[in-house]
Amino acid sequence: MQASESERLLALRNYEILDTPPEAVFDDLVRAATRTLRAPIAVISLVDEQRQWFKACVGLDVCETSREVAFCDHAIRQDAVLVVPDAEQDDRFRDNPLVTGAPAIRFYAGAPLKTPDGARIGTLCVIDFQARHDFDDHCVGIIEALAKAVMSAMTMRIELRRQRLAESRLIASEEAARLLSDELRQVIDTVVDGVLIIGEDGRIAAVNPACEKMFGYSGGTLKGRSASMLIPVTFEHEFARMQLAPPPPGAEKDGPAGREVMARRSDGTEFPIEFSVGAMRKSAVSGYVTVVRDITERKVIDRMKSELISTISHELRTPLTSIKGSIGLIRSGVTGIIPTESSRMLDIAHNNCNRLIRIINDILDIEKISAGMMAINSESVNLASLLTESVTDGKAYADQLNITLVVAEVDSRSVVYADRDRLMQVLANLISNAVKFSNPGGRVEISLDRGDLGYRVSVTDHGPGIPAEFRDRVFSRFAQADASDTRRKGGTGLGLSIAKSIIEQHGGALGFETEAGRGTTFHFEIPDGRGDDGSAAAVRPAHAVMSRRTLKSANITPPVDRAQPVRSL
Amino acid sequence: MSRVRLLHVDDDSDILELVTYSIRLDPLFEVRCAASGAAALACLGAFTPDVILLDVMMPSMDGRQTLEAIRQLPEHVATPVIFLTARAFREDNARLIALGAKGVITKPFDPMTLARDIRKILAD
Repeated sequence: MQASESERLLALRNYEILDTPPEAVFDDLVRAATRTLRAPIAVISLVDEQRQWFKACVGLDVCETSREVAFCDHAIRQDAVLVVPDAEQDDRFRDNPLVTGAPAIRFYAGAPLKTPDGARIGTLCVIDFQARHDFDDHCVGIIEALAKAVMSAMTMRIELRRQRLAESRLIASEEAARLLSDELRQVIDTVVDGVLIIGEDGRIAAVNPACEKMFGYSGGTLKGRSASMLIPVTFEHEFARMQLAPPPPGAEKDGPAGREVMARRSDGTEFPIEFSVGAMRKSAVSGYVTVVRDITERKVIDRMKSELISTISHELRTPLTSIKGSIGLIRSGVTGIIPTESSRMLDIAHNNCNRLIRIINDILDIEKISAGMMAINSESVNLASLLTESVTDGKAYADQLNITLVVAEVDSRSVVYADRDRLMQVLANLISNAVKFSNPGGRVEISLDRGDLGYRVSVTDHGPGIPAEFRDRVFSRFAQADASDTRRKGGTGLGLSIAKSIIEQHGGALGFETEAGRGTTFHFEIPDGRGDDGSAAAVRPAHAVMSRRTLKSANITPPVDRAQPVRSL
Repeated sequence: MSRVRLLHVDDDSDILELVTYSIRLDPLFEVRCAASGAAALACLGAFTPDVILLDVMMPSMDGRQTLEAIRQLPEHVATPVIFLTARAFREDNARLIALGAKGVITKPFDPMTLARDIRKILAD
């Protein structure tokens, strides 16, 4: 019975009616009960855990009593109407304080208030100060009907309240959404970048003021017009690409971030922008959000910086030419016999001249890569002969450090379509690195295999390996495992960064494996074939190709220096 | 081995001296120097070189303009010109060749092989 009492209390609480103010419908019902059943008192009593609480009441001044003395507590124990014609004659109520004292109840009739699940949560009851024996079936019928009416009113009341609550919550959330969208709108209107929302049809659905200003339009005139009007060619390509190959579900960003292209203003002038496109798929409107930034100023600064670096680098070469040339002549002995001690000093000067030249060359390369200006002059390159040549070039430096260069047997028909000089540059860098980081008397192995992308060239040393904390930064510019290395090993810290860019420009990949105390293998893969697969060919420049043969015949020093950075050390 | 008369044009006097010294390691070279494009043009009246070694970046009249002016002289329409440049980019070299130069040598050059390098370009 305990369980059903707790269920009953739960059912009662569900009506959310306890301790609420009087309501007309219930007041009307108790008034109707007093009239139809000709009783001075009528009550809608809800039996709580410790008390009975009156939602409506006629003829009594209290609004609750303790449950112990409540007649209604008896009424809810049965399904039928409890009729007590004379409380003084009833053993259950004879000693009840409400009978012995005020208000001196004599007659009671209570109909249980039953929920649809059968829980009796209270009563509608009528009470009299005198005993009554006239409460017949007709009266029982009336009080039962009134009790049902009370329950209906309670049910309707709670449903109405819940509905209103839901409505008010909905209004609140709509208001919150409106505020949020106002806020978003403000953010979009305030940002200095241009924001364009483009529909599936490629037409402009919305723009922010920054965008209008950037392109020289005003007053919403852009809406409905084709987006390719602003970003000619590129946008059409970008748009087609995204429609053809939509990113996988859940992908947050779609377009490549920060693409630099030319855009067109309303007056027809062109200017450089950086833009990124994201597809809206989760929202009700599908389309594309494009963020556009005017980079005219940045481009000017970039160009100035580029020119400055280029000028400084070239200006440095002229005095270096004099220094290096003079030292070279002295060292060769044509100017006279050199004392042994001077000879060593001249070697130091000569080596550091070469080092300065390498640094300048590397800085120029990095500058070209940053500016996207590094041209790849592709031709058919036989990898076997390239490997042999690079080993021949690197041998002098390897001999100095007592390192043996070993080339594994390679297929002499391995041909790639690539820039021979640039590949030599990469190989020279990898080999000189491997030599640098080998233990004296060690071996550096160079091999050629098939890889995932095409041919794979590996250069392996058996040195100390790359420290774990440095591995993430191997390809960063000016990266050196520790500062003291620069002096000892004489690198610029730019070589691997340049090598990676060169290989990537060929559509390949450069990576490494390393183990502490066991050594390191750097390897690059490069697509094979003659470029008709669109990979290597895509980077073939339109302008004149200067082959290595031409360079060699001219015996131009810097490229040879770069290809053989180790010989002069 | 034949005799080669060479005119070297460079605004940097140290480079002029160094190049002269280097080239004279080959006794069959006869070297004349000019410190500017204008000086080179003036020199061409009295001296008929077999090859002109021309610096690119010079004040007032740069190497390109000098080459253009040389080509205006009927007797030097075909005189081989080799640029000696401090710009190391291959693209620059290709552009210089396209201007009508016979070859390009970049700074820093190897003084011990300079004469040989020039002979090699002339033989091509």
